[in-house]
Amino acid sequence: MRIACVIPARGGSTRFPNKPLADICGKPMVQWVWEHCSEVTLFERILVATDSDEIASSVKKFGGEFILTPKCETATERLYQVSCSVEADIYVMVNGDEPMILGKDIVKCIPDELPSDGFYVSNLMTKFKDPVQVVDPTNLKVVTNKNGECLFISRSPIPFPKGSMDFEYNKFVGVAAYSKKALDFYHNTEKGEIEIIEENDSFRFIENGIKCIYINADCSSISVDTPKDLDAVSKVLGRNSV
Amino acid sequence: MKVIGVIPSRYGSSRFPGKPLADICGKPMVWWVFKRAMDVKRFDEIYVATDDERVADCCDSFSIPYIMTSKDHINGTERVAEVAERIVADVYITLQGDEPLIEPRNVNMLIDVMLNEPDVDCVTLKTAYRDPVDVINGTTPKVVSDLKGNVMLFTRSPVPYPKAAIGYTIYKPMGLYGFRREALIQYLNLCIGPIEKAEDIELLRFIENGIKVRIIETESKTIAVDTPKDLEKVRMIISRGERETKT
Repeated sequence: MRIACVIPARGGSTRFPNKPLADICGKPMVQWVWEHCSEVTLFERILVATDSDEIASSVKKFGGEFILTPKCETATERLYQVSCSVEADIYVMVNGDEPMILGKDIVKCIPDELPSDGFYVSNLMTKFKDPVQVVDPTNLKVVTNKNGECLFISRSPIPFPKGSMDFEYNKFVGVAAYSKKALDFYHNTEKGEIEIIEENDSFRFIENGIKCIYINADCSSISVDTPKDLDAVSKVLGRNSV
Repeated sequence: MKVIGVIPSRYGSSRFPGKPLADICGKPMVWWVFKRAMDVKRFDEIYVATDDERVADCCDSFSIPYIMTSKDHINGTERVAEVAERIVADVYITLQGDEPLIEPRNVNMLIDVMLNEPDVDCVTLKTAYRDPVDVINGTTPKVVSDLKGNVMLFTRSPVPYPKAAIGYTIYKPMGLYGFRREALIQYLNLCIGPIEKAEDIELLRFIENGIKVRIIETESKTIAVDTPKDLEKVRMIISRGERETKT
């Protein structure tokens, strides 16, 4: 299996401009992500996919490979754009705002082999440890069926503990794996009603009844959506590198 | 196709003991549910399924067919599944024993899906929430479905969360279910997952085990009698209806 790793990193987040270049303990965030991806030996290539020259030159500076993509509405769409010029059986997406995910966790989304129909979508999740994070609507909560197929993802805390408290909340982690067929499906399919409301790429599949496996990576993850997240991540990564 | 209506009816909850026997315009609630079920006119048979002698005696006195079922069932679907094991039919429709204002039109929608779509194992209905308080209330269930009309999740949390758009509807799942016999019998053997346990919503048993549940949107004015206050509302509606039929 040929596996390519893609780090989508867009320049123009309105809430947090040039987020991938935000400094974490002396290195831009995208470099942290790239270094963690480099720990994985299975990857044939690791590419930062960006629409920003500034991000591209930063990647070049730390010795990474980048690919310029047009402006894309979602990260998965950016991955599709890459898949049109870079050949692979599996495309692993590591979001540019997940600087804490390590290589040993990233590989957990990769299947042993491609299913016979050539269609594969998986995503990582982890248990929430901090109750505050469950309530924070920037963190996505995931529920799956007993086979690990995603049922729903929401910014609302799901499930609701009425009958039992014996439950752990699953947190969405921005690491996913797609086969080329899955990326083609994504690109050729319109957004559904719930995807429009909740804004999560997995809905393109699950709203169309296509299974999307969510794998518990049991890892620490803080996705950087706001400057407050950046502070939290800097504390952890700064501590680890001492 | 043989279609059976089943009214699961426990003696009552701790909040409302004796609920199925509560008086509505001179007759017990379970009698009204049965009468309205008869109005659907598409059932080959209708049974009350109970685990309590008092409910059984009441059914006897009004000549309502009933089946005594186990006291161990944790929800109505398990009780209806026991009926399916004992009485053979193609399709079973669950009518809630605490919803006397059955709307035949909605029951017919379920029966039509089971007739026309042989791949559907289980079907239920949803209706739009109109009152914001109901949406925030952690006791009221919500439902989200995919583009093919299959349920993605039942939950008591407000879903979806309006991050990027607000022009949408939050749906309430209704207490009317249609099942094919094999699916109901299978229900008893499926494991109870963590989400069903957390949410206490019975159809999650299918969802967590990867079995599709079809859901259709409808309008509904039905009232579930959970409290004496609900009962008062139902009494008013039924007595008004009775007066209108007499005049």
